[in-house]
Amino acid sequence: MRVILAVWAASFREVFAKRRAFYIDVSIMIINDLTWIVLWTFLFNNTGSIRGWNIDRIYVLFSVIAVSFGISFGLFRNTRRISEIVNDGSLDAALTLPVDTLTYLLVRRVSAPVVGDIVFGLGLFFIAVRPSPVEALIFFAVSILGAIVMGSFLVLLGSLTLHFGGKGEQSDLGFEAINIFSFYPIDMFGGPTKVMLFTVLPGAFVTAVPAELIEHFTVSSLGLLLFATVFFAITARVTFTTGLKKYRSGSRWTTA
Amino acid sequence: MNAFVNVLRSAYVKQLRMRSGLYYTVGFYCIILVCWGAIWWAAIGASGGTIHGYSYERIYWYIAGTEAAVVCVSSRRIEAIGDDIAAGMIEVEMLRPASVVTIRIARQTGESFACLTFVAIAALVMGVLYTHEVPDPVTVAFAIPALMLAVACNAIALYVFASLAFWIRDARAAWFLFQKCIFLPGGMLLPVQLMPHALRSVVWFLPFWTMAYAPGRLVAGFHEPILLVGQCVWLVVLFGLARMVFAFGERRVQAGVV
Repeated sequence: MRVILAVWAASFREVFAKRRAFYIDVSIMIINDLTWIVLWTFLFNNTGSIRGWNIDRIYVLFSVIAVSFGISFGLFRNTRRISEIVNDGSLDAALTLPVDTLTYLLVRRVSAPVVGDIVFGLGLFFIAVRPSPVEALIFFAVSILGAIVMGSFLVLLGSLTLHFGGKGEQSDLGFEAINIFSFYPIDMFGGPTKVMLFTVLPGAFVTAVPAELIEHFTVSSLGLLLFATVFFAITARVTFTTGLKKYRSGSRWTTA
Repeated sequence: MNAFVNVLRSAYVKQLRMRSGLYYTVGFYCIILVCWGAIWWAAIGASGGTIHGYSYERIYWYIAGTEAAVVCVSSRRIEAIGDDIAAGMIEVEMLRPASVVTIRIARQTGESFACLTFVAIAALVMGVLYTHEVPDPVTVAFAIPALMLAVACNAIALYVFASLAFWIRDARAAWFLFQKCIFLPGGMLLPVQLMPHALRSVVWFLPFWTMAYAPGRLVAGFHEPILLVGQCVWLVVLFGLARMVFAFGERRVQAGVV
């Protein structure tokens, strides 16, 4: 555990080594995220509320998206890169280390721009939503759970490359799909799409269920979110571990 | 001009031959249309049937048009161009007896036109499935050049934006800003008519509407040929700007400053 934390700390130091670049990237990401809020504001100005959704609920939704996204892909950048790591041989160097391979890969890289999402999400939640202490506590907890679901889903997709080969297109498409569908209020979608978002493409557990818990906390919803988190985390771990048994080295020595 | 056309044509043919990546783009495009189709269905329903002259069918074709034009040119290329500048690739390309930026724009445009070929087919299929309407011949006659001009303007504007890397090395995430300029003032997700009056006034003085709003509006069935004229004007302006800024950058490279 100490080794993993040390690797993670080194990843942060790597990102902070170029301070100016870090602050520029974070600032750009905050502006990027603000654009979505502006877009929804313009839309609601023209339509009024849509299926019970208004700009206040969008603030909650985007706070959760931003923080979950920032944790998954900012603090654990390699979550999205499992296929790439397998294909380009970077996995070989990680296999020789006396630490758990998947955990090492996940903490090995931090993404500066996506850390800006965490800053934006926290800022939006505390400034625009103005939560009570209980709501803030729920927000932190469900954002972390949502991040685990998202990260696990992408690790699962990336690990399929170990089993079936390929360049990892399933990982890219899965990322874009969960990214897109998580971004929008789930009530906009019809029955089949909603079913998909609660099953094969778990976008509902990344944003919709966490946002719902912040607005109207219920034990059953929390139980559902916890179940989804554990399910996807275990499935991702098992898929990666069993895939490693089939892995044959690409004989290219690089760092992950 | 010969070199430009030859590079564009060979990039188009090459991309068509290596088309596995294009299937992923088409898949991504279809997902976006499913998503935004649902959102606009809900939004139009909440507004009583139309918003600023856009019915559901028209707004769906609008989104199909804007997304088709934008998805074929990845804004992330700005990051790659910046990396090429930093790595000295531009210096190597300057040895050739042709303008670096012109050849690169030709290659990018050719590849994007190949992508547009596939995406346009997907747009037609998705549009007919969701709206139960087939575009009339006049709409198609306006839409095709509008889409091509939008892709070309976007490909050129990438290089204008990316040339910042000759001066600033630390802005790897700057492509997000370019993308959001197309999203918002470009009218990619929201027609210009739905924007506040102040923003609407500014939008026409920026080039981003040529990359999304113009093709979207024409694909939606609004027969406004003035948009094509505007796209042509901005195409020339952007190309001149790209060549000028790249020339300044190349002088910095020659002086050993970059």
